[in-house]
Amino acid sequence: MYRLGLFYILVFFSNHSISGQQLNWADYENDTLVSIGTYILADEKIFIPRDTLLMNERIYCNIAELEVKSFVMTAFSIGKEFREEASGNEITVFMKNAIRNREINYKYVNFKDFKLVNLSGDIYVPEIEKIKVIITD
Amino acid sequence: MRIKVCFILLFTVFVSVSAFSQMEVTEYKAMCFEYHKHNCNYSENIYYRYNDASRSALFLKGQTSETRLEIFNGRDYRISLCADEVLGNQIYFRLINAREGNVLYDSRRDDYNMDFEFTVTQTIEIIIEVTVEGTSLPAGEHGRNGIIRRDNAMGCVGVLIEYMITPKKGF
Repeated sequence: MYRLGLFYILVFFSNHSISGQQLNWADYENDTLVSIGTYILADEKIFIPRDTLLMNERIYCNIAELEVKSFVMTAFSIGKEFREEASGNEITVFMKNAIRNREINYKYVNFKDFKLVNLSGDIYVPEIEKIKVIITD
Repeated sequence: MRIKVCFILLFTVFVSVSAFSQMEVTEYKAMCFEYHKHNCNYSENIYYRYNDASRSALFLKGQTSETRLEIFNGRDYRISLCADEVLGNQIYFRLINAREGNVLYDSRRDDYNMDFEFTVTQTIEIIIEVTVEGTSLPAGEHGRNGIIRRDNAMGCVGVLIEYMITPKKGF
């Protein structure tokens, strides 16, 4: 019984550390930032797995009163270029198709030109205005 | 005798001046020697390897220069730039198909990004054209060609090229 209990404790703590990508907004209380899933875009360069990018539907802001009004995604490969502006916080189908396309194989995508809006319609921008998301497989 | 002395004197002066000039040229060359190796940011991906086509050069503000690279099907490449602060941050590069002349990538459209990674699906030769934006000071009162003022902003620019075999995906 004791060993079983120990086993469960071990499993609980190991799972807790493996996940590693839990939102930790507490570290960024005073900053206005956006996130893709659990990845807080708190740096100009960030690594995100391809599957994670494709799984997430929307971009969020850490300030409850603000939501993403629009943003732009760009991507570059040799001889190929992608640019789309999204109205709202949704990562569009076209954006996902660009990320998914392994023939072109964009190695990174840029998220930029964020416009955040509150209920009164005032526009804000996040602390980090342009983020280079390096896609890891 | 006098002529001999004058001749020896002239010869000595000539040799010293040319030795000094050689030293200056050598010093400038030495300034940028392997600049890219020590100043450009290497990829964090451990599978990338250094490509011998990487190079460094001395640039003036407003200057454009190019170098060629053959890129092979089945490889990923990373090209990154680094430069002395004196040249400013408006430095961009373009990748041009050497055979067809079309521009394959322009870092100005990528917000003057200083590094670019891509996968190659067809072996081609490309031209890496680097430009330092800005203007050098005018040559002189009469704007004579072929004269560059010594107080023009000059600095090193490095082009670091890395490559790896394109990782296979899926089963």
